[in-house]
Amino acid sequence: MSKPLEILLLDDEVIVGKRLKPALGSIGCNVEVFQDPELAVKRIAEKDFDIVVTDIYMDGMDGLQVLELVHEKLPRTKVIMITGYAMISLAREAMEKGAFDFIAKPFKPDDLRAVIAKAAKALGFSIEFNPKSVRG
Amino acid sequence: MPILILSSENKDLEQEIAEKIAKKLSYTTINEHFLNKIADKHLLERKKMWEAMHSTPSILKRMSPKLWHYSLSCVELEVLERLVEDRCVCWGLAAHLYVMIVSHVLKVRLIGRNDSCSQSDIVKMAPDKMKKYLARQERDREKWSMKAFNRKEAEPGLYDMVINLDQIQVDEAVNTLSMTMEYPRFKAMTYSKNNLMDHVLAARVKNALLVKSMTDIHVHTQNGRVVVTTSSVKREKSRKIETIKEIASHVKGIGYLEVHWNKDIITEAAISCR
Amino acid sequence: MPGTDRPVLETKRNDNESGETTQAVYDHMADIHDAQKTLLSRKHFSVRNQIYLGNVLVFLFALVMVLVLTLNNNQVQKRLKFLEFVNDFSSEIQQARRYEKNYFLYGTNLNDAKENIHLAESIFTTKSEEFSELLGGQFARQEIFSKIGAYKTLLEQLYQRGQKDQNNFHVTPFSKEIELKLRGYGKEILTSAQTMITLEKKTLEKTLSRSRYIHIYSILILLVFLAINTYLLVSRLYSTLNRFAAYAKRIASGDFRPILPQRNFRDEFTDLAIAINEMIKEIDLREAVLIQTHKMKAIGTLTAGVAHEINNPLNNIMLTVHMLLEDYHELSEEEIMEMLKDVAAETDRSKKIIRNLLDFARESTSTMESFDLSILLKDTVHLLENQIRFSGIQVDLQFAENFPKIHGDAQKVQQVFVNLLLNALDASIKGSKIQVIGTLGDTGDSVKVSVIDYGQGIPKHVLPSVFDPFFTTKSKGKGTGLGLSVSQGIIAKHGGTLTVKSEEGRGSCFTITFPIINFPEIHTFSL
Repeated sequence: MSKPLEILLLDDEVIVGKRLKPALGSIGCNVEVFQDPELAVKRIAEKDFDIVVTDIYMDGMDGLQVLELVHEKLPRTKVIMITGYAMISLAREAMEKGAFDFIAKPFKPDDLRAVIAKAAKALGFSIEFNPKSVRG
Repeated sequence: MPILILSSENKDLEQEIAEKIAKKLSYTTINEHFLNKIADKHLLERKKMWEAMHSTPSILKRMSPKLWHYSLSCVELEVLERLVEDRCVCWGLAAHLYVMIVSHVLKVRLIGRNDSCSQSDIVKMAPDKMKKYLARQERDREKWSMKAFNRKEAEPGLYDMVINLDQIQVDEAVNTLSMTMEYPRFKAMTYSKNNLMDHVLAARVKNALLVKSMTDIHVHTQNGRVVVTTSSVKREKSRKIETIKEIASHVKGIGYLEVHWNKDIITEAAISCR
Repeated sequence: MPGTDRPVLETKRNDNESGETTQAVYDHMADIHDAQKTLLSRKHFSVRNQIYLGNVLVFLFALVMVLVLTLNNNQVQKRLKFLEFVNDFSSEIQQARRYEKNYFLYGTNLNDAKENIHLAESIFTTKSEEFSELLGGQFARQEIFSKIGAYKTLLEQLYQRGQKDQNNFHVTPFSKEIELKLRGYGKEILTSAQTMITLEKKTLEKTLSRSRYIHIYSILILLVFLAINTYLLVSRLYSTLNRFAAYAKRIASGDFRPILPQRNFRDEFTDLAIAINEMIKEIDLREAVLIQTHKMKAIGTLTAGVAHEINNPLNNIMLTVHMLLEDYHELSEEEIMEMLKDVAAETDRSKKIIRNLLDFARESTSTMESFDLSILLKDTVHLLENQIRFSGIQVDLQFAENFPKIHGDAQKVQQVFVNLLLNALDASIKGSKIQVIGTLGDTGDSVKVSVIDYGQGIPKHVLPSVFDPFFTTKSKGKGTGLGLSVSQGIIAKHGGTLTVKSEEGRGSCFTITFPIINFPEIHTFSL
């Protein structure tokens, strides 16, 4: 498939969007960045995304609610949770609600790229991804 | 699918359930017999290895705290290395105590049916005698797990699930467990895999340090960053830190390493009193 | 009451208050030391001594009374005897005179008269010595003696002449002359005896009535004395005990100011006061440890939140640095600068996150200052941001305009609010809200801050015990049950109150009242 992977990235931290947009763009993804969950939800209603990457604790709406809304609209969309408040109970709850993966902050761009690649594969896309940096 | 760790005082039923599940899901198994392999690999006496897993260090049994800690570290390391390979059922090794925060490990405690144990002569005992025997055994286990991991092995809060075999049949338990394991909440994810990898890395570093007979070692790993906490008398500070750094740098998968040092007040006091 | 007020120390304290604010409330170790010293240096006048003294006085008084009465009695006895003697004497004289009369009238024997006068004389001689005092001295006695002597001589003369001419001698002119003389003497003696009797009777009556008065008055005086003594003793014991009871109540409410010396003597209560001051010192030290321990627990809770919160700036730094590493050569200098600035800003943010917690965690010597509760509450909510976020609860702060400042130890007050807010968060259900409302007190000299949650509320039967130490509704291992008790202690030290209203299933409202600035009105306890 030549169509690029459509990704929505939602995190109330501005820098996350600023850095991840080019980071994911470089592996051939089309990334839309949002800080406000309300706006993101509106956009999700308008457009079908392949992958949604969302923070969990945000003002106004919580990432798990976004996850549910996304799946209500389009169950095949893969939702990847990223959070600084990672805990075993939260992780399990997210997975139970159908998250594709759960990544604890802080993470490296390659960590997310690897997960995106995995999600793309599950969606039938293929993404060129060779991890450049090593762990640590 | 998650990794399954079982824990029970009833070895027979535990094994039966574990093996049934492993067969059903085509999982690999790890149990106490794995201890022999570990002992061989780390050049330890098999008998000592079993002893270390079942009793606390004592002079009577000629088990020094050093050897005891090292033996346990070997077990922890090898078990974790196997758990990383995923798809396995693990029992009888108290492994749940070191993967507490790994979300894709389902930790289950099996209780009840004490009458069906065949591993010893409990069956022939009078009921009240049996009760006493079991209580003592429980106390011993508690003492062991407190000493080794500072947790009570049998505490229900440490488990995701407790199954009472007096009320649930073995097959029902097998079905319940295999069904539970399919819940998405126990699926592996980047976060939990990283957690498990962190544990493996910590175990590797710890084992590498213990085999070089370092003492007073605590290793914590987060996101691949290793922090070793140790203590010694002041004049050995830099030497000890250097040694730890040197040893740890050869560990497989090591990246960032920090050594935190505390003053060993007790030894220091003992020295100054001489 | 011997305990008079000694206002010297009191004034000194008042100076302290206005000057160095209320350092004394927390750092009263020195105060205690001073108080102990002053208490010990005073003169000793114990309750035991007072009881002894009272009893000794009663005993002495009784002794004096007994002596006086005995003396009086003796006197009465003596007078009675004297009366008897005078009576005897006068009856002998009368007898003698009767015979003498008979002699002159009928010429009977004169021997009887002689015998009687002789008897009277012997009575007088033997007893008069004894009663010389009552007889009115030597002179009166001598006079009576001479009269008796004269009487006797006349009788003797009469007798002698009568022996010579037997018949009708008693009608001779000579005897008539003697008769006249005799009659004069006899009358005189009798009269003086008679006078003595009446006089003596009067005196006796006086003495008797005196003895009666002594009885009545001494008993009255004794009663009054006993009453005064009892009153002094009881009022001393009772009032001091009352004060101690009030003081114990105050200690129980968490006010650990020492007992100050006020009286200028020492007694058993001083020893008790000293012991209590010692106790306060101990309790105070322990409370400080308790407050710190409890704070560490709160810090533990907060740390978990901070450990997570810090992941956000860390993640930003990590992403930025890795992108720099990856794309360094493709990035323009401007972009690189921007990214580096981001890193710098995020490190600052991390520092701030930790700083907040550290500020709260710092083990400070208590500093008294005036501070704005609304700002303190804002900071506190900020400190608890993570916990608030975890629980999905909204916290509303509503403070009146121009909210007055209060005086106290801001750190400790913050600890109280952290505790109350953590409790409220625990009690609330996800999606509900917590209100923190600051208002002026009804009388205008205090401020009120209420922390209101709409959670599960506190069941009626446990409501009275929520401030008891070690009371907890949380499961084992989750709460120590010291939070509210420690909080109440801290608020009490600020001269304020912490109260609770709650309805099961509807929520709870914890209200703290602080006195404004002029805090604290010190009702010192002194002894």
